[in-house]
Amino acid sequence: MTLKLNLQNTTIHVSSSLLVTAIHNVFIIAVILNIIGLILCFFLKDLYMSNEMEEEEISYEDAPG
Amino acid sequence: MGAESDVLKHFKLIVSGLIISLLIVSLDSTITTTAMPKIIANLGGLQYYVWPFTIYLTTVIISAMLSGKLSDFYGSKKILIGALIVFVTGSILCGFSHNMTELILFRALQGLGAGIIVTVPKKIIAEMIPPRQRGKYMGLFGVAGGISSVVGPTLGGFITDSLGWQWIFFINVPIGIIALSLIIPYLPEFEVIVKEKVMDYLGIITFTGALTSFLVALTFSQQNTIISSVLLDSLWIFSVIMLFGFIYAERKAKEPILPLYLFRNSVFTISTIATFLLGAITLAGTVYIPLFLQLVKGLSPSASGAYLTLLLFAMIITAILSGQIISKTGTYKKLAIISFAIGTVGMFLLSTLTQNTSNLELIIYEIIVGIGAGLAMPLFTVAIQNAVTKRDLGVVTSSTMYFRISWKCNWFSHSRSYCKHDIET
Repeated sequence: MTLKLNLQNTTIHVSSSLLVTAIHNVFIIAVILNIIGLILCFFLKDLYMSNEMEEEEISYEDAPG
Repeated sequence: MGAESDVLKHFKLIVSGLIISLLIVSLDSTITTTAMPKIIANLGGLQYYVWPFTIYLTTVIISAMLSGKLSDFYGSKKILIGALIVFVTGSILCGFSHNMTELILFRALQGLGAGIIVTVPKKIIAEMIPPRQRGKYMGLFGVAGGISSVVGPTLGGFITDSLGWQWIFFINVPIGIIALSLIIPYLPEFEVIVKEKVMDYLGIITFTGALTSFLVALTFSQQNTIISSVLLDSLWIFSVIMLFGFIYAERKAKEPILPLYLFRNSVFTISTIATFLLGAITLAGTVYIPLFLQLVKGLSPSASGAYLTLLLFAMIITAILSGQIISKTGTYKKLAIISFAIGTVGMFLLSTLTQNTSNLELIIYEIIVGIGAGLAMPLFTVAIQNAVTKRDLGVVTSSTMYFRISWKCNWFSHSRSYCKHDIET
């Protein structure tokens, strides 16, 4: 199977396996980005959220546990 | 005290006004995509297909970046009302466009309003309610985006076919008026914290220069016939020079539009990077799943859109749930880790898709991706707002939006490649 793309009045043929690989690559990049995000989140400081409105200069309070 | 009692009295009406404001902008971007082929047929200028999107998103990013500082200087209410008026005016003018040049210019005007509208409501929530409760409303704001992604393309097709393409712009007028009729009387004007209004003009000029030349170069590089390679290279170089100029300007400015000291705050830095990554991940899912279904499995655009709806529903439900969990626990780190872990699994499963993957498997995979993205949706804005002083609420909210939206520009600049395709077996 081939894909026919009509771009700016020119037609090119792309094999479907190449296309599948290209789309898979995007998903694999998304996996890598997710892993980077996951690692970053381990370093995220968990600041406890108050039920009070903050003052102009807030003091940071770490989350319990 | 007056502002607080006004908020308590009219809270639901205010939040409704903010959600409608967000809905009008997110709906506009999804509706327009479907209508664009008809617009091109009517106005001509296929070679300009991508420009209404690129220019719109460029001005959205610029105004989103400026919105934080503008609302700090002049108050969130005035800036939001002004932005809604600009957006509605731009919509009317778009509907009356006679050619593509006019449409592109008026889309730029619309974008100036839209960038503020997508940012300032999130700052208003932070001005109205305490940190712990904000997640609930950030989740609801996410719903506005999700609903428009589901409804927008179909609605765009329906309006274009039945009333004409002009009405995809005119429809913004009544919705904008409803939003204004809720915001003008009920939203109080909050205290302006930044008393010394020193606009960072050098920062604005260098940021606009860097972004515009980058996007123009990116768009032209996809069209490879319109400008010479020397001019294209010059645009890339100019963009880098302007970026360094922007960093210099921000170091020197008294009231920078992006204060660099914020990057010393680890919550801000990590959340900003995470938001940027999420923008890319969400885009990969929402763009490449339908593309896979159409090009590899041979589904029609509407059928592939129906599959994507499941991902978006999963995202909407978990965004609401995530906001509730943040409000209940008062923390966000575990939820952030869980969301990226689920996203990793979902994307890994998507990377195993083949032509023989069953429909049920595909549905499960994309729901997993939707759950991961939805959990993270309200999280990082709330985390960032909680980690800075009240004085920086505006700039951190606007910079979060900037990092989230910037991916869309890159995508739209080369999206024309997919405007016409068919499968030959």
